Amino acid sequence: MRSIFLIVAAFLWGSLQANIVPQTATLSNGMKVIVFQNPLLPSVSVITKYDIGTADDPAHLVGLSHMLEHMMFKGSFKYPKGEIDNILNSCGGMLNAYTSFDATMYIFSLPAEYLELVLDIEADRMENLELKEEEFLPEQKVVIEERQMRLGNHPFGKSAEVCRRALYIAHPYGISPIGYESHIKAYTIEALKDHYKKWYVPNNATIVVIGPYDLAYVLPLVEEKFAGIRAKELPARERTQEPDREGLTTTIEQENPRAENIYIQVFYKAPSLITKPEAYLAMRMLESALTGSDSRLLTRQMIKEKRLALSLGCDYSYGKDDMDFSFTLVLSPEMSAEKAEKFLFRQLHQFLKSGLNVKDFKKAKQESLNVFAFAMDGEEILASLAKNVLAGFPAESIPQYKDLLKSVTIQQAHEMLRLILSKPPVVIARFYPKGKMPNRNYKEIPGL
Amino acid sequence: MNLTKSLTFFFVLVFFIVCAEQPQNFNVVVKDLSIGEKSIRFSPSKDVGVVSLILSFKNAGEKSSPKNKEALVSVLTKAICETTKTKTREQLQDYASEHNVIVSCTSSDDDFIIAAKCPSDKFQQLTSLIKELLLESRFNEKDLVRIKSEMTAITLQSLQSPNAQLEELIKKIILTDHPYGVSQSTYLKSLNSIHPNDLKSYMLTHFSQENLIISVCGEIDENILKSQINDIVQVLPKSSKIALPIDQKIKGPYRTYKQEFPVPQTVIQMLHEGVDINHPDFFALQIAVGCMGSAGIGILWEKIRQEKGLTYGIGAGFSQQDHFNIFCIQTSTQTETVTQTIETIKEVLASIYKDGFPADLVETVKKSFLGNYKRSFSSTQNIATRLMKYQREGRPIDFHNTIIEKISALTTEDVNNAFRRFLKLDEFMIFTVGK
Repeated sequence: MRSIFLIVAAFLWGSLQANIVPQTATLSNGMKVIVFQNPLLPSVSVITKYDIGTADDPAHLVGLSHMLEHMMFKGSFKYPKGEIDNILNSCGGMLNAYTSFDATMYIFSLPAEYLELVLDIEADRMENLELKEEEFLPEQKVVIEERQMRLGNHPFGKSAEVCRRALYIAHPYGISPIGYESHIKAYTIEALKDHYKKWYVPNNATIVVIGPYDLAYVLPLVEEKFAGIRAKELPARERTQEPDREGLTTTIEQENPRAENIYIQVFYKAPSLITKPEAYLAMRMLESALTGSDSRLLTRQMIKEKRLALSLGCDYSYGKDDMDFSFTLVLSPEMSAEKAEKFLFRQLHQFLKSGLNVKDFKKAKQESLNVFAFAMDGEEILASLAKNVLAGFPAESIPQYKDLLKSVTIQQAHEMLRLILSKPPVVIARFYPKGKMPNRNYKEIPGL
Repeated sequence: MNLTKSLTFFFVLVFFIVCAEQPQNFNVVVKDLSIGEKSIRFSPSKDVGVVSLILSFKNAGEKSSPKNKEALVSVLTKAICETTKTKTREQLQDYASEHNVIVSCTSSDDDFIIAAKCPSDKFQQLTSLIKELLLESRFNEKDLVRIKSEMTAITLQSLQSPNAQLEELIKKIILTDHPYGVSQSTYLKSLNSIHPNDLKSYMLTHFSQENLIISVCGEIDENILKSQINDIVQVLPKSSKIALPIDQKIKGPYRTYKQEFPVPQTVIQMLHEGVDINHPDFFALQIAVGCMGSAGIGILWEKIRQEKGLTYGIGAGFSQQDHFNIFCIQTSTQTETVTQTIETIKEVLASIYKDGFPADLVETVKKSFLGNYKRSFSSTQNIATRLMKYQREGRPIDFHNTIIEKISALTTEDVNNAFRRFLKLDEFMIFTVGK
């Protein structure tokens, strides 16, 4: 068990000390290079991002990008199967990867002197990945195991999938990046090869280097390894946009035998603002001002004073396309969903009408600025910064980041609240423990 | 009982902390700064602009919660940050925010730990806050009711995870009546009997100068450091009286213990008696488990995951606690392949026992330690945590170098011999939770 005094707003990043601003370059083949330097780091992290995620996968093969991510560990021309692991282990490095709706990322972390080797591996994997049937078949089984672990074994795994589908009835964000088991079983080695050829090209990639080096040191190495890889025309992305709900709210109710308390999630549609620094920071400030710690007015009222909930949080999700702003509540035992929701909505309306709590906003800002003091200690803050830049936050705005943050006003955060609450929630989901679901005559429905 | 936490600790950190090899350009300064009868293990770090501090009260962890108040230490980790003589929780948070000081309290089975961090010029404000928490915490029934309610909800929900069920099963079978083996139902039941005075009394009897371990890493003047830490030490009583539990071992019966749970994927743990930190083969065995497997390396990883696709993840490792040491293999697989997975693991173990680990794998694992060790020195908090661990184990000040020499000197023969001496192929207790 643990308690933390100061929950530092994790969304706020990087130091603006003169030596910690991203340095950027673009190779002639279109590959982008971003360097975040901290001279004190003994290690280097290299993030290779491909602008291909599961939202751009073929509709019948959702998760193909994730399957390809697994196959990227199975060997390339210069580095046959096992070789990358051997190299990494020989120098005490780590390689991780993840696939989201919008991108696939590979993250090497290893002693700083191995930077060139990592770049060589990534260049070879970009151009010469060896995709073999005999490697694919067992890995396909591994992905099914991964799905079971992440979603099947989780008490709310299936519930979350249903919520997601209700949030996006047409957009590909409606299916989890791992796909359904039927998708996974439909993958073929040919489909993977095709996907790899289409999307793993330099003009669809960004390399981020976080470590003790500056761009003057990194760029020649990147050019040496990647400049010879030719750009290709990228296929059109055929994402269907989510239609306007026109005020319709989907309500999901489930008696979940693995829920111990009533869980409520309320999702509002929210625009993707990551490419607009001022608006993005105002949105994150709103998030923090509402539920950033248990001393905020809303959380204090709901948890400590009214005892409506055991926990309350809000979350702004963003991607290339619009996502959502959600509230999640775990209710106190014996508390009704109706009462808790009523209070939450009433308070939100109150904020909308009378403005956000000034003290909470000031705290949110102070906490976000506090993070900057720790920027030289490890790579955590730089990595967080890099992650946001990779998601679309303009790298050129980073040097002004602290000033941008300071300049966010309570009115701007309030405008964000107005924007979110301008339409009814898209989804309200309630998960009840066994025997706690209210009687809504659903019992008359066969099967319930 | 934090068995899962301990195992996770192993799987994730053994490479970084327990057995490390020194990179050639490794250069970490460690010194002991004396303050009266206590000392601070300190690693200065130039230009970083921050200080990380860890205060660990040895043997004041969850194992020392009184009988029928088994959740007391867990409650304390939360309640200690609620209210002091002069500040409400909100005021404490405001103070922390204003001065940019971060304090967190956690407990393991063995210890109660306060971890803190601040900009270098705020160290006085940080120590002043910690002192206030240690000396002037005020526990009230109202706060406790809410904390207990939150803990109950979290605990009950966590039991819906198959891994938590597995931990419960292991505790029930192996650690009956041991403080490490407190079941979640006992833990929950005990919440009702914990009152403000119990917390206060526990602090008085379990937090003392005698059992306090202090480690610091960061950019700070040594005299200021000593003076500020001394201020904290002086508010504590000289000594504590803590009764320690008996040691526990894995004694069998060596068979499979199965618990039904409605999940599609079964979690599996194979447990074998472990070794303590002073075991003569300790270092060789760390390399041996590295050779057995975790993410991206080792024979189990290769055979079970890469070749057969039976699992998403598999790992082998040691967990060392003061009174219970285990060697564990952990994985998960679909219901239909549980038997095949366990049998394959047994075959792999038998083949390693017979043929030993290949020399190239042993060398690779040794090198892996070296690089991971270097990388793990990347933040003040990581370094302070390592220094605390070494101090707690009674290691000398240059242990971060000694350990390197020991690992570097190991031969393939050392590793294989140690593994054969250690492993009893038929002495695994196997636990599964699933359909």
